[in-house]
Amino acid sequence: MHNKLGWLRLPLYGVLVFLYLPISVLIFMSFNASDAPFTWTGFSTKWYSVLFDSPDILEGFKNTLIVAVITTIISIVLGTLLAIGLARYQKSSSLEAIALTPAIFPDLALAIGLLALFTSLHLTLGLHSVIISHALFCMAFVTAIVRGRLAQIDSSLEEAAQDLGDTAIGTFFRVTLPSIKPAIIAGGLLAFTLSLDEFVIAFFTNGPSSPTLPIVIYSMVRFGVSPEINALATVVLLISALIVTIAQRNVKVQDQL
Amino acid sequence: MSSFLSIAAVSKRYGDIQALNNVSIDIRENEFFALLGPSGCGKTTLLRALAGLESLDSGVVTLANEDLLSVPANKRPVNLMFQSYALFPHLNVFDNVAYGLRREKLDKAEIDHRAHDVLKTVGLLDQKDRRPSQLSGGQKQRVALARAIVKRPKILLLDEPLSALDKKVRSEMQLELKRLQHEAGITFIIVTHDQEEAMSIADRIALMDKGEVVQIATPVEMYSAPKTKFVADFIGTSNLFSGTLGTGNISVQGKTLPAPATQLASGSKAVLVLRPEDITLGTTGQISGTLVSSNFYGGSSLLFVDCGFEQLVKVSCALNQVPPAGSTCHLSWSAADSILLADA
Repeated sequence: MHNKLGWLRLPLYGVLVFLYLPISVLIFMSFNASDAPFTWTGFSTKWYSVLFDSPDILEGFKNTLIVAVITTIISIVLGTLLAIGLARYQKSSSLEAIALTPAIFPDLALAIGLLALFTSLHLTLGLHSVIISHALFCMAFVTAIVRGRLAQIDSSLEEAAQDLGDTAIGTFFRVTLPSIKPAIIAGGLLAFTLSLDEFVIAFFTNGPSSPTLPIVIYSMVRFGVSPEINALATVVLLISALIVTIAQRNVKVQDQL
Repeated sequence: MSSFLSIAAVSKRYGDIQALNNVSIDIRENEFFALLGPSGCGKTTLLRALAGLESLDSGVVTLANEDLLSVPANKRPVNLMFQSYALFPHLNVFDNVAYGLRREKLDKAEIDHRAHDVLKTVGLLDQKDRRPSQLSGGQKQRVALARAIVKRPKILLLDEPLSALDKKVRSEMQLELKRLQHEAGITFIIVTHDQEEAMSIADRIALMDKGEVVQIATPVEMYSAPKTKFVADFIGTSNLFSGTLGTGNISVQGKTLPAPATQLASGSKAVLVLRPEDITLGTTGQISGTLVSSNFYGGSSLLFVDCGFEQLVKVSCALNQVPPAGSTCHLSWSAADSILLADA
C-alpha cells in the first residue's frame, strides 16, 4: 500500500505500543525466575504455582467468581426486562436516561452512597452486599445493549406471532427472546468482566471476612509488589480477554441476523 | 349476497387525527376486496383493527354474524400478511410456515403435511431449510403468504403485499395472489395505495380518503361512474374541468364545453370528467390546442395538449398517429362519454 497518508501509520503504531507495552511487560515479568519483581534473571513458571498454592488468592478468586456469576445472572434478568419495558411499553426518554445512568456513575460516589445506604439499613456487609452493588451498575450495561438491539428488530415480528395464534408469553419466548439473545449474551459477558475486576465498590461494600480478588491483590501490593502479582494479573487479564472475544463474536453473529 | 364480514360505523381517533370516521363496509364470502386510498387515509388502521392489532373507539365488526372485536388477536380466524413480511429471522422457511400450526397444537404429521402442501403451492418447497435472510424479496413475500394461508383463516388480510417488489415481479405476484385466492377459497382483503393494482386484482374496491369511505364499487363501476371528483381524480387518468353549469353545457375558464344530461341545477358548480381514451384527434373538434409533449406507454401514447386551460388536456392516441410536437390538435368527444359531477 503506497498512499499519501502512509505516514499516519507511525502514530498508529506509537499508540498501539503505548497501549500494549505495559501489559506485555507484565506478562513477560510473570515468567521471571527472580524474587525481585522487576529484574529479569531467567525463565520460570514458579510464580504460577505459588499462585495456586496461596489460600488467600484462591479464596479471593472463589469470592470474585461467586460475585461475578450471581451479578451476571441478576443483571441479565433485570436488565433485559427493563430494556423490553423501555422499548415496547413505556417510551420515555427521561425514564430511559434514569435507567441507563448507573452505568456512568462515578464508582466512588456509588460506593460511598451504597455503603451509607447499607449502614443505615443495618445490613451486614459481605458478598451479598457486593453482589447487590455490582448488579446495580452492571444491569444498566445489559439494559443499554439489549435496548439497542430491540430498537433494531422489527416490532411487527411480535405482532406476527400473535396474529399466528401465539400468546403474549409464547411470543416472548419464541420470538422476542431469540431475537435479542446475542445482545443478552454480550451484555452478560460485559457484566461479568466488569464485576470480575471491580475494586472501588467492592472495597467499600464488602465485609472483612470475604475479600474479592482485586481486594486481595490490593492488600498484597500494600506491602510491596511481589512477583506472584504479575502472574495473578496475567491470569485475570487472560480471563477478561477471553470473555471480551466471545462477546465480540456474539455481536458479529447478531449483525448477521 | 349476504354479508360475510360486516364493518359497521367504526371510528378511531389518534389525538387530533381522525384515522377512521364512521366507516361501514360489507364484504362477501370469497371476495377479493381492496381498501384503496392515499397514505394516511385510514386503510391500514382498519386492516390492523380487523387483525386485532389496533383497537377501535366505536363501531361493530361481525364475521359470519359473530362479534369479532371482542376476540383477541391470537384467537381470531383472520391472518395478516405484513407489509414488512415480518418473517422470523431465527427460523427457517419451514419453521416460519409451521409456526401458526404449532400454536394450534395440531399433531406433527398434520403440521408437516399442511406446511409441505402450502410450500409446494407457493413453489418454495426446495427452499424450506433456508433462513429468510437468504431469500429474494419475491421469495420472502411467498413465505409470508404461505405462513398466513396455512392457518386456513376465514379472511386473509394483506397490507401492501407487493409494494416492496419491482414492477415485473409485482405483476406476476398479482396473478399468483388471484390464483391462490381462487384455489384456497379464502376472502382476501388487500390494502394498497396503488389504484392500478386495486383495479387489476380486486372484485370490489372501497376507496378511502381522510378516514372516510368515499365509494365502494367494482373496478369498472369505479372507473366509469365515479361518485365524486376525488374518485374521478384518483382512479385512472382523467381530465377534470371545473366550471359553472349552463343548460347542456358547462363554462370552464371562459370556454364552453358540451355537458352530458344531468340532475344538477343550471348555474351550480360542477366538474366535467373526461377520460383520455374518450377523446379523439381530428380535423375539427370542440377544443383545439398545441401539442406540448407525448409520453410513450407501450401500445399507446398519452398526449399533453395546451388548449388554454390551467392544466394540459391529456389525450390517448395510437402509437402510429402521434403528431409532431408543436402541431395543432383538434379534440372532439361525445358528451355522453363524459361524466358530470357536483363540485364541492
